[in-house]
Amino acid sequence: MNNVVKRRSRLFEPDMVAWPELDPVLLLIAVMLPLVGLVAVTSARMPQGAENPTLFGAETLRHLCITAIGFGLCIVAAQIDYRRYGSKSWVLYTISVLLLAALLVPGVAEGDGPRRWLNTPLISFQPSELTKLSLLLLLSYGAGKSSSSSIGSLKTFSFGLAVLLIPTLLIVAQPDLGTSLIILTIGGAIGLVSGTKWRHLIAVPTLAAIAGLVSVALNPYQWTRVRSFLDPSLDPLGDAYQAKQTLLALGSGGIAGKGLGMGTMKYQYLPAAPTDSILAVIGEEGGLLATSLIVVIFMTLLARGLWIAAHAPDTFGQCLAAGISFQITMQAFVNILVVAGHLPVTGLPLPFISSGGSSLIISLIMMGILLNIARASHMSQKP
Amino acid sequence: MTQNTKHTKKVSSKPKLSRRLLLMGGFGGILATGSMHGLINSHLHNAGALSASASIQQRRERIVASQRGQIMARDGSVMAMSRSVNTLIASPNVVVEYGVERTTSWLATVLNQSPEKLSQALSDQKSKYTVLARQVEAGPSRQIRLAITSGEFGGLRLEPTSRRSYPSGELGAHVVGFVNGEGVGQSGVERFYDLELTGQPGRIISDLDPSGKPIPVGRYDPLAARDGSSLQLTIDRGIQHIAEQEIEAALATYGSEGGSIIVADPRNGDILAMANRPVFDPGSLHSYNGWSRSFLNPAVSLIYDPGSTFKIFTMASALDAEAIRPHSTHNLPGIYEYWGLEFQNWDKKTYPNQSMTSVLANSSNTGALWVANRMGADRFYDYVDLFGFGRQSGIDLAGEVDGLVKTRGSLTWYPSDLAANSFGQSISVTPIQMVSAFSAIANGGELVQPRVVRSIINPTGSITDTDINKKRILKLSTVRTLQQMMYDAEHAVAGNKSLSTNYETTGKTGTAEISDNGGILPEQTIASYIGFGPLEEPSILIMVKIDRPQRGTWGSQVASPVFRRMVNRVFRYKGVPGKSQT
Repeated sequence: MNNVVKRRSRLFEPDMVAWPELDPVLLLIAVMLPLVGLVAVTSARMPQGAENPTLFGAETLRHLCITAIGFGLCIVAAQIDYRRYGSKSWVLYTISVLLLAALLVPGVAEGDGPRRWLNTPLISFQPSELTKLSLLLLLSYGAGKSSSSSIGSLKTFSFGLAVLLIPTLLIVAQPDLGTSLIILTIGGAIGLVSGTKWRHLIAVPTLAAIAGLVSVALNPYQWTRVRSFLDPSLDPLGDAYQAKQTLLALGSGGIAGKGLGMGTMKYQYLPAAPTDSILAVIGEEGGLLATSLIVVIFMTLLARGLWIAAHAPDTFGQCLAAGISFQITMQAFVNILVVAGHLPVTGLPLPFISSGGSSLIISLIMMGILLNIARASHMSQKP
Repeated sequence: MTQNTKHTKKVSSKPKLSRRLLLMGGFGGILATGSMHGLINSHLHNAGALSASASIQQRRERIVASQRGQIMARDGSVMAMSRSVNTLIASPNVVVEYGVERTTSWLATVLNQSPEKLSQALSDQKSKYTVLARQVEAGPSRQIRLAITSGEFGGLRLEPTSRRSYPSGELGAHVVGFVNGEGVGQSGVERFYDLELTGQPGRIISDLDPSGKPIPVGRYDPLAARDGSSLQLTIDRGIQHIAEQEIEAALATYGSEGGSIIVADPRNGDILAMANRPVFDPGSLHSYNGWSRSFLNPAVSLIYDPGSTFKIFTMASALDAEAIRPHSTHNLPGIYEYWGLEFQNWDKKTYPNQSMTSVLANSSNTGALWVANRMGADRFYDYVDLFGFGRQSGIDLAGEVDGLVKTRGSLTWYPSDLAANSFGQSISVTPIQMVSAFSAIANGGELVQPRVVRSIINPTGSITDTDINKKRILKLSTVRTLQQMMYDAEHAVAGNKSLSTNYETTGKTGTAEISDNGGILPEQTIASYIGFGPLEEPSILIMVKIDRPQRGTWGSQVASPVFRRMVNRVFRYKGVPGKSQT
């Protein structure tokens, strides 16, 4: 018994961390969003339920299990001092890059489409999600380690940029332009917070634009998305169709929505209803009340995350907190803007809510880390 | 375990950091505002148009056909009915996934069709819609439905439709009529009662997904079809059968190509039989290549000059107007010059001291002319109108025509027309008008509107009888007198072929010239006979009309014997007591 307590104390430092010290705002968000997702995705899968009840049951159970595991990992991460990850973040980064590279090996990723999934007999896994976490850790750790004079140097910046670009290009090659742009925002966020010079930081959006142009040039379907966004009549059945259907769903929902489960657009009209278009399902069934609540929740998450960053005890924590909250909310708002018809179709899921195990688990781990930084900020402000 | 001091470096420049964090927050705020803008746009401002567009996209309206009513004979036996069949529709682009070869060879055996025809229909493998087979019966339909639900075959679907069948074939075909490919009545009662037979098609409004499957939580608004009513005809199947046999036999005997036999009940206008030649089979319309003259019902749609049968109406009018008395006698010339035209009797003989009865017995044209002239044109045409000539009888059959009556005062009327009209020439009538008018002679002076539908049976089972429309046009005493005159006249004719030895009937022959572009066709006649019985209370009226007989010319030669045979068979069938049985 003593033995066990001893081992636990090494890991959790129980004298410092206690349950009530978890930030209540973040905790509420971390619980609410996945539960909203669970309900919304189950509703979005109703058509599948009518076709194949067994598969529907299995998928729902899987989603439930992943949510439970995600919550567990979130709580565990909240107990682990984020500073412990620092020196090990290289390992995670290396694994991520190797996995991304492996995806490009013929035969590893299934199908003819984008190579995003690593399929093992047990689980399907999206390495790009792990990459987000490993980049957040590594870049924040690097920023924290650099002295305040070296952080402005071109050398440090170039080094960080190289770390950022390797996985970004691998993801562009999948191709997954949306995710690679989100990964660039991680770099941008950490660059901003760490105090990188503005003239260096400008390189990130410039690179993003170049990456975007190259990717669009190499992948005709992305150009179609942009063109059909600008002129929907060009492609009434493809991406313009998806863009139109999400708007129809929102319009059908009105202010208060049709009621849970009562949406009709998810019956094959909405492409990717449980994933990229999940907000359209929520919008049809819950109306403006539900969708605007989600915007408010993500905005709260960003505000809280930045507040935690401002109060973090060190640069590593500052960068990590700002990076995590900025990355998650950027992805959320891009997804929402796509559904609301203000951006071309990108294929980005809505964090916490869209169906997808890798994304949900990684997002909840990030929330756990954020909770831990919040706790550390709290501690550091104690007299 | 201590903290790693490397990472505990305090934040050096708090104001700068805060500014940069605020910048990030501000950027997030901009995106959040943009998101809200987009959401409010769709949820609120454009909600009406967007939800309407979504609704239109999902909404499908499907027509549910109503079952067309049956047409039954008087005894309830079915003469027209609709059976449920299916149209087999394929989506070739889906069939491909199940194998075109496999599907066609299977369908060929199920439908008993050649696989080549089927695979040709499926040849455009990008197409989404093609009709593979029409009027698929219940048995094969069940097999196909089973194979689709089991997932063995796909890209096929059955659409219910119906097929009209006519179990009686040619029997009473002109009365029953037929429907076109869309199931709309084209002739006969099928057309006249199309609205009643069709009923009210229903519809289902429902939300469907893009593949056409219903959305469980979507709208489902069915409006059930109201099936059509069924009709019970006045046609007596037995009498119709007799009439069909007799007209067929008469045509063969006298070398004629057309004719009609109509049997009616003069008391209520019920048409008990209406047999016409040429006739058609409503069950195999496709063999007629569109349209055939035989589709026309000559009893209501074709006109002819009635000839001597019309003298009954001339005589009835004069008696009713009291212009003549039945026993008054007059010297009637064989040849009568009237308004510059010469009219003559069939034998051109002069008969001195003629009674009105003998005018009928000899079927004297000049006699009829004398009578009409005595009445005057005004009164004569008043009666012609009362008898219903020149307008439709109102029978419930499609395609009835008015006939042609030139009345005094009309531009085409000449005074000499009165003479011709008095014995049934220069006036065109339909057989059904003759039946209707003659019924008044049989039933005591009431014009009855003929009808072929007795009652309308609505799908819930309630029965509505059709109206019997009667109008008194002659005094009862006039009719009594006239019937006696007709009886005497018929018995005064030597070797009268119309008289049955078993049943007491009376009537009138007619031999009409055929008008053709103002002239008449030489050597061509229409031979007819109209009569009724039993004389105590006439309940059966029979009209026989034989067009252009090649063997025999006169009504008394051609139509009379047919009438007699009809009387013998129909009266026996109806159980009218005959002389030999009493």
